[in-house]
Amino acid sequence: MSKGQITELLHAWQNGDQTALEQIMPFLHAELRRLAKQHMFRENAGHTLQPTALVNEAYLRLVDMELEFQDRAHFLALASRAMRRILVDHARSRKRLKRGAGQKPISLDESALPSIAVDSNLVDLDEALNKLAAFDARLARSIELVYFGGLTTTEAAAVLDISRVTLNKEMKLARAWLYNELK
Amino acid sequence: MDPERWKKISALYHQARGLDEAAREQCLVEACGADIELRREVEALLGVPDKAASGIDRVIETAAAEYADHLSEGERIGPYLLLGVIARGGMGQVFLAERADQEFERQVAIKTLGWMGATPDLIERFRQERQILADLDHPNIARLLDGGETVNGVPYLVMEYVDGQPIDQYCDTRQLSVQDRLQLYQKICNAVDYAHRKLIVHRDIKPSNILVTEDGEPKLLDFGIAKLLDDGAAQNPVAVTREGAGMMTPEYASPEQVRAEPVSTATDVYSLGVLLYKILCGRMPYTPKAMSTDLARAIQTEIPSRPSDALGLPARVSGNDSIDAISAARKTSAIRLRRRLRGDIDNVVLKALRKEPERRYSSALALSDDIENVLTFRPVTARPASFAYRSTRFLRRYRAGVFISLIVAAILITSVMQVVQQRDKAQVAALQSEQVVKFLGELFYSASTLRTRGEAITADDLLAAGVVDIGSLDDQPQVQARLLEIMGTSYQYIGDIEKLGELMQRALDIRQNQLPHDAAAIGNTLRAFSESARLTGHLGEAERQLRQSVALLIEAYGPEHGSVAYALSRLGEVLRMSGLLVEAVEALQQAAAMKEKLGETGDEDAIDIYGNLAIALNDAGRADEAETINRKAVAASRLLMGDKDPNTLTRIGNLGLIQIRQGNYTEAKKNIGEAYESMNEIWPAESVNTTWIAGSKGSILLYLGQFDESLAAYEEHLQKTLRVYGINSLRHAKALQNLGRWNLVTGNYSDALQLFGQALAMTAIKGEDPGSRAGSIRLQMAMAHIAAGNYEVAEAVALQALSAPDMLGRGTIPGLQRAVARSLSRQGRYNEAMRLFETSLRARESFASTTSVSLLPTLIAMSKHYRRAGDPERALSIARRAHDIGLTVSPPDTWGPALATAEYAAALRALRDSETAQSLFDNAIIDLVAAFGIGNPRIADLRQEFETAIP
Repeated sequence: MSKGQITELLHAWQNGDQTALEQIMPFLHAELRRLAKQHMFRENAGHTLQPTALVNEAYLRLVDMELEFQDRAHFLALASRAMRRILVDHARSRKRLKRGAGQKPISLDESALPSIAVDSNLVDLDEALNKLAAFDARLARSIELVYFGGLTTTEAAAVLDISRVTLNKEMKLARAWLYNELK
Repeated sequence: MDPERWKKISALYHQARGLDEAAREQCLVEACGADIELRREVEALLGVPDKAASGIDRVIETAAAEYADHLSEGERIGPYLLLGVIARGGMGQVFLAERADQEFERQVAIKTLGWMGATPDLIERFRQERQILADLDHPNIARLLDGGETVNGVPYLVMEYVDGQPIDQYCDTRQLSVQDRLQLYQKICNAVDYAHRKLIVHRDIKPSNILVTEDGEPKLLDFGIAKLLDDGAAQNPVAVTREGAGMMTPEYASPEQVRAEPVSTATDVYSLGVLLYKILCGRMPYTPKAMSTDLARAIQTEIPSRPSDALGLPARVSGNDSIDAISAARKTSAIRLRRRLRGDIDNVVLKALRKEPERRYSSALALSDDIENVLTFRPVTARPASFAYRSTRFLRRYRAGVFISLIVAAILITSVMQVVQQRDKAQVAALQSEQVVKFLGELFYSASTLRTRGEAITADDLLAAGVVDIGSLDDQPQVQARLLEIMGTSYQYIGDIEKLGELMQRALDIRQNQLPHDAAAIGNTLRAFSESARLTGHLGEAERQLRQSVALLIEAYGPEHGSVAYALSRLGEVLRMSGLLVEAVEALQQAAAMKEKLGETGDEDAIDIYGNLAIALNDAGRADEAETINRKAVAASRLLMGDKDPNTLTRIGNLGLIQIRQGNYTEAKKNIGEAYESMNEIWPAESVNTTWIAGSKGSILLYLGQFDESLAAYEEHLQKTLRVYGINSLRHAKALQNLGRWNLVTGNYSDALQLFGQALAMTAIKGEDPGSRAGSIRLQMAMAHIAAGNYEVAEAVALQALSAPDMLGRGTIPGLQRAVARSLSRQGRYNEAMRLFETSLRARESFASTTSVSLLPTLIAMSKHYRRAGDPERALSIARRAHDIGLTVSPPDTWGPALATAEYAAALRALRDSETAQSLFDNAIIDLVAAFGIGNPRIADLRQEFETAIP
């Protein structure tokens, strides 16, 4: 897919053409999957895999040019959705396997409190986000954009069409709610 | 939650958040009134500390890491089901596992290399471990049962699972006496000695690598950093293997390991000494302080206390046992234990711990024998170190660097030349000795490989500056000829073929005209000279020179000799390039067999012979055999020459090309990538090797569907080809063909045809196997015509190539038959098409294998044919086979296998299994879109084909 086509699809999507989203999604999905795999092959001792870095890399690779600020933000919004879906799907399949084998998950070393209990996994986080979205979709979306997509608060605010100050305030609330939900 | 209620909570939260505690309290009381529940909910949110955010990051990052590193309990590796994690460590993870197919009930330990921190160095060490361990079969060494790589390319080892305790703990919990400990220890020495005889050094002997089972058998684990010693070096008591630093456990490391110097079997003897120290007196030989550098210094400089003395020292490290506890664990008293250790045992332990490898026990067996002496109260061979030894140790601590800088090298060469020019007879005689010539050769050789960013003088500099003034040697023809040959070969290494030919011609003239007849020398010179003809595409000339060379060498040395084997192998290589694959494989196998018979399997020639045999086998379609042989070449080359050596790199690049044939693109990319990067460091940008590796890089990226990168590499290949080989050469044709192929794969059929046309025109020029090249170009032309819908033209092009089958490479004929069959099938001539398809398939199966990825295009075309010809069942069984073969490709999501899956989906749909078909097709399309892009015409064609595949 050429960069031009991507931009066109993004515009179509913003203008309400949902089929544009469907067209770009498998491509994005494939690109993120490819990048994740590539990262595995890379020499990066002691480095954690940063999903947000993947999303940004996907952006750079796919678009590789200066986009309008709005377009870039929307592209990243789309990518953050894809990233979440990939990771959650994977975590779910692992959970099934673990249960099947009757094994205890390995506990990670826990030192820096307070934070969301680390044994709550991504599947729980995803479920909590779905729950949150049921009564405050914007709050759930803001978490998705920033944490799965790596959007800056300015970009996320533009996608959600609110001010940055509002976004920051809402993020605090969203995190607080998630923290209590996953505690 | 009710959205309306949430609005209230949310509004109150924002309102109260900015307030101080008192104001917040008041605000909430006022706003909530009797709704206590509301107030509680808002307070719960306000009470969450800001830092809570970090938890979300960690959950997501942990999940992402797992996504990348997803091997864990309950999953499978090959036929093994992972039961649990035994250990996670620097080298990866160790799982307890069992065979999922219940073929064997026994449990095994599987060691993998995790993705996190998996440097190429680690992966390579892991792979070496696998190859090396397979050779070890000893009751006290944990067996390697199996090994491989997971679908994601994670290498793993399947080892005997040892349920036991580390030896030091075992001895203490069982309260073994000194006698029992020594006997147990002897078993370990014998196991280590067994490995040493197999030329394997452990390098990391320590208690946690020696487990003792319930019934008292010790088992050595983890020959993780062991490397094969070459036969020759093993004869030497201070036999060396390369590298080795950085992976050892500091407390058990030898002085040479601490200094990152080459290690040898003596290194293991040292670690065995530390182990003996520990299990006998419960202490470590040195007093480790907090800083690891202190320990490193102590290992290099301190003479350890005698174990009997160490016993009495106060416990130095917290957690160390008191002398009474140590004695109790040995079922004795402190006084008796000290008396038992004093004298012979002290001497034995300290002899194993000598700083200089050559002053230790000559082998683990010798150590074991001396312990036998202790046990039977015979005198031991170990003696206390003399005062002289102890005092001179300090002075010898730092040895001169091993490597001579190239500047020093230049000075050395100059002074050698001065000696020659002074006509000092005695010294000239010395110079003629092989040793001096070899020294100069090695200097040039290493210079030609060390092309690094201006830090040192390069071979270019040495050669161009004429450090060796050949002209000044006119009255020393023997030396002159020898140096010409060395310099000529050095020019070959840096890719200057013209100079190679020029200098070799001069050397040959001298040998034939100025010196007495020496069959061996002329034979060898001819062999070296033939490289010039070979590399410039004059294969007939090269073959003639080599046949003459082989004859002369047999005259000089008899039918079985290393030089004969090598010249024979060069002949094999030239025959291979001429397309005479059967003869080529035969010559190379003969050469390899000769080397093996002579016991010369680890030298440079052997590496070369294995490497070229692998190429010939690969050309003959025998990729699996080729891979095995090539791995042998890489392993031997890494061992003999190191990782960043031109020879090693060439072998690694070749391995990648073979792996493309095997469908293992993951590994292929890694190997070609490694070779490409390193070759470009070593050689000038425009040289023979940097050129071919660029073409290889283009090919692997093409298979991986990374088309932009692939195109860039192919263009680089073309540019370099033009500079190195010139315009209109056969190599130029090959470079254009690559670009044509790129266009064919990515759907630009008219560009592809144009490039193939240009390339074909160049094959009319004489050179390396033009017939075979033309055939292969015509094959791809035919494929492009079919893709563009010109079936009759395609048929004609393919038939034209087939009309001269003698000129064709072995893989080309079935391909051409397939092209004709496809054209016929498209024209509705089904019976003719079917017969040709079957012929083509059988031919390819006969020289590749029935599961080779090279069958994919044929199988896919056949399935389409049978669907078209109204035999959907046959189509389905063929497509299924293609799909299954596709599953063996690594990584699985490349376009080649995806095309097979898409065809399988269409065949399924044609037989009404539309649900499975749809999901398979979706999977295939994801991969294909990722490769070709959504707008590519191939995608649209495939979609249409799938949708119209209805009963």
